Amino acid sequence: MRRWGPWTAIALIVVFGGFLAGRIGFGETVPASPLIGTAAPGLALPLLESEGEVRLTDFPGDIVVANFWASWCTPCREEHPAFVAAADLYAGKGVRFVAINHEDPGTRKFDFLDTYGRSDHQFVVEDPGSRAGIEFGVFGLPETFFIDGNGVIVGRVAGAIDFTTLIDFISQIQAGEDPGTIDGTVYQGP
Amino acid sequence: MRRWLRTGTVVAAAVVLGWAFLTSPGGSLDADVVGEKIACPKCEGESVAASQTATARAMMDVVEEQIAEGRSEREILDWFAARYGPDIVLEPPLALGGYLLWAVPIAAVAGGAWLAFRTREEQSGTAGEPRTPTSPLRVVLSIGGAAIVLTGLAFGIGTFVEPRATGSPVSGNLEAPTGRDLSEVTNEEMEAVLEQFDDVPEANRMRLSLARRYFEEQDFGSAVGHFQTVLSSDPTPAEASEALGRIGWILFVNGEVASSEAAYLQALDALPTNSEAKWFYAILLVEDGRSDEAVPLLEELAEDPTVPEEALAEIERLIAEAGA
Repeated sequence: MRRWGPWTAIALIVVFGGFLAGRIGFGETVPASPLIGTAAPGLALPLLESEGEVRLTDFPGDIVVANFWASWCTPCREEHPAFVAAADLYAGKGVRFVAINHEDPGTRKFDFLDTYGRSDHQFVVEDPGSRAGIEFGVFGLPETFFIDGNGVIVGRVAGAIDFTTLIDFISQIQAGEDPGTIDGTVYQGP
Repeated sequence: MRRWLRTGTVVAAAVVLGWAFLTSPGGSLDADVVGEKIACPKCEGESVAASQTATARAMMDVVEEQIAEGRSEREILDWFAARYGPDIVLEPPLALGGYLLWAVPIAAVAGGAWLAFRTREEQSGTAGEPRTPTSPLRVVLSIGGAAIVLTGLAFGIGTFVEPRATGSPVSGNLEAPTGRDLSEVTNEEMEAVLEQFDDVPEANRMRLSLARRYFEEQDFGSAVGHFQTVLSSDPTPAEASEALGRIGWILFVNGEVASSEAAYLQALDALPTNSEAKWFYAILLVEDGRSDEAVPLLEELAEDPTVPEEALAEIERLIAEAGA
């Protein structure tokens, strides 16, 4: 008993210490979204530049790509042209693009769209009271959620997405596969 | 004697435990209390109750709505955890890890007590004295007593400890806030950052900080633009009131008395406790010969506990001037 006592004590300290260290850590990486595999929220989002509103659940059978963006989000500038191009590419082919302008008061968002582009096949909507951001558990911008034809959230990309990855995610969903998630770096605001 | 001591200790622990449970908060839910248990997802080391970011304020609105709908605290915390993940809750329910946190120290004390008994038994054996066998019941009672005392102390001490100050470092969930203090950032650095963020509420704190510097340096031309931007960037009532009060002062020193008065009234409308705006307004009233309006305002300021000691003499001087 005496011979093993100190070793047992050391082992306990190591195990308990490791356990504590694991609990203390809280890095800046965006955590995995618990929403993958759950139904997309159906809240109404007013159109930014015209009358009317859109719900992400308005398009049964279609894939919906919901992208959170703001004019103050630097990575959003990199990825926005990819969404504009993809919206044109998939027009009438069962993929809907909804660009959700999140926590972006003032008029800079319109300058952003003037600079980085609009598509006639893309819905640009507001996020009143940050409700969509909260429903999607958004930690920062940009974040993009992929919703399949059954209205289930099947993928998320945190951080800027490039055109190739965007097309790859959509192709996987069209093939009935789950594209999964990319947990990149997001911009949390000024 | 020893038995009485042990019984007394156990009874004391039970009393402490019972008292801790009885005095634990209950009843109707307070949104701020719930908000303190939800981490702000876009800031470090702050709860949504403490943070002034747009997201945190929106999340507090959701908390208030859910309380009004009759949801329990656990249901509200679970609702946020279902969207942001379990780390969004600053006080997660006791999962296996939580039970381990409690169980390991208790087990360590219990194990120590058992070892002590063993050692004592072995020592008495090696001294050649007749060995007194320790009854298993006595061992179980002692270990149980130690565990109860420890648990009682843990709960009892918890009721006396002040809650952690908002934003202060804490181990176990969020890291301490990092980054530079705004006082260390130069005006030029702030201008470079703020140039990118017109009309963004999250920038208001930095913008006000810079505007205050200009104001105190009497560079009113630079200050007024930033105060105006704050006003157009969805400010909090305190931010709006400060900006309006100081714009009022700038207008006053430029001879725009009517506009200045309008700004002061708006400042006090946004935040009636803004003592600086009251002070500025009182000066305007005295200068404008409206002593009957100035004196009540100055008397109100003289009784305001937030007014610094050194300002009181100046207030008394102005009351005397107004009365003369």
